[in-house]
Amino acid sequence: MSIQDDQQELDGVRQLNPRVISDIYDRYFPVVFRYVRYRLSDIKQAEDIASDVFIRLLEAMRNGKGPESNVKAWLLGTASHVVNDYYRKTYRQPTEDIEEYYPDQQATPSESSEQRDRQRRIREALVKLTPEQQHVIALRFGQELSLEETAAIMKKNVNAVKQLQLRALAALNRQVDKT
Amino acid sequence: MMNDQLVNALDQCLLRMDQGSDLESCLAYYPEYATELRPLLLAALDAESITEKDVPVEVVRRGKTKLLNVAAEMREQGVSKRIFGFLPLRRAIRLGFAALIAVVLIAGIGGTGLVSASSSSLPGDQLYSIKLKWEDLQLKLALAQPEREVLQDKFDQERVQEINTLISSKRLEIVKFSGQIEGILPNQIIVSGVNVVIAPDTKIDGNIQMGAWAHVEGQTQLDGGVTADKIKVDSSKSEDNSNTPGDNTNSPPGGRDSNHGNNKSGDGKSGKTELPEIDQTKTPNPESSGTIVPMVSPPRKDKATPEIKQFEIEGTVDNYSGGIIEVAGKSIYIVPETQLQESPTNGSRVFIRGYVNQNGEFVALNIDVKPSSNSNDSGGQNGDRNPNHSGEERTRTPEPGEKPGH
Repeated sequence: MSIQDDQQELDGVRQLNPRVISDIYDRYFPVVFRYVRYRLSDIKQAEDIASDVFIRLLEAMRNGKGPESNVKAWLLGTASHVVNDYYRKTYRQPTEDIEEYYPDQQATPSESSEQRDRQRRIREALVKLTPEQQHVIALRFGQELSLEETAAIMKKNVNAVKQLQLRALAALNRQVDKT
Repeated sequence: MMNDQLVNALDQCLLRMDQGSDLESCLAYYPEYATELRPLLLAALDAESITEKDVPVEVVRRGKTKLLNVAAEMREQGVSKRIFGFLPLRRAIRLGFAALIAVVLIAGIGGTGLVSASSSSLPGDQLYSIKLKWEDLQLKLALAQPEREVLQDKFDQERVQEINTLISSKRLEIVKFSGQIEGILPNQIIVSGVNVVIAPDTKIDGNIQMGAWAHVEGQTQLDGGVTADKIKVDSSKSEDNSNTPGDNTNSPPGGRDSNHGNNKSGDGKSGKTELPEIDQTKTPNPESSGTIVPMVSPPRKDKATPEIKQFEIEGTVDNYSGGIIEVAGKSIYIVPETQLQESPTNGSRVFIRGYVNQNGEFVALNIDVKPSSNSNDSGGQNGDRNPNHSGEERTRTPEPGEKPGH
């Protein structure tokens, strides 16, 4: 998409054009939902937050704010803030909803159980990291974004992201071992 | 200060693993950092393992509906804000009161300006709420019940027309409409000619049955139709309409059997249908070749018994492609409810009974493939069907006790 197309699209959102809003939603909702879902084990909460991010986009655009070019970066950045707010407000360790996981269909029952237990431990460990560490891991390993894309979203340079990534992985490893 | 070489080694290992290398072979490139890298790479594998690629379709759809709803509300707020936002409260109240009086006056003189400008608006448009309020006002101002019913009927048809316009212009909007259930398909019903998709999270209140009156809330889709959020079936009306065209309870198309009177008012006067009667003066011309002879068109008395035109046609099959059969120049849709004893072929002679939906499309309920000779054994129920003509079509109303396909 060219910058001009981006601008036209953002103008459409500003004017609350349902077609444009619908297009943007179709393109980015899966990305935002996956991000939020990665950071939250509660699928219902993830759904609400992902939806809320798009409503915030409309509100921001109406108030003359919002993204100037990179919609995806704005959406993921906002998603990160909303998830952080959620954790701040709830001020609890997220309870794992094991039923929400989709176990590997190929796995045997015992393998599946072990796998789910492992995933639960990883999620529990993940939420104990700092918000920034969670953010970088969610972008790099949840979204499989490149260092450059991650840097653009986090508004950091690539080297800073590399170092943050290393610290985040080290912290994750420690927390997984603890759980 | 973090070791830059370790940072870069980690980055390179992650890159190699992305490209398919395993952990050990990556570590082999950096033996001096293997001890530090191993737990980091294991953590990276852990982090990747909790990714879920699939996004449930219902989640996507619910979010989209919510977002478009919010956008529609914002658009409406934008209009009222532009009108009242800059005014002090007292003045805004006064202006609002004056606007109310103006609306009442407009109601008396037929409506102009903003109201008429809103008349062509569609769901999602800024003036659409004015259009709905204007309709509501008209209903309230209608003194007599019949007048209200005619108006309500008109507005119901307007909603369907709006949806068709939205669909044809590929606009996704939240819509509400009411109509009769004309078809029931897997995960889909046809309400007033509109395809209504029933999603797993669609809330359904009442029993969906052919001929019942349904109130639908949902969202138009780019590929046509409406995906329903809510469907409310008016059961009181559905009883009166249990034998409408396509009813799979073997009732006559649009007709009434002895157990299903159509005395909607419940006044005990008659169980006879209020659907239009056949105009016997319009006997089809045996030489005609497919012109429609409208035989029914009295006004709808109640939305529970919408005007349903039926048709019969006998003629030669011009083309048969499975879903559509063309006879005497008319394309007639074949739906799952269509009773088809024998598969027609191009050139075979058929007798088709069916109905015309609100989009003016012909839908077959029964197709009889006739012998090639001019046998006269089909027996027109109304005594006005001549099997010898080459292609003849007419719309008619059912009579009580009629059975489909006969």
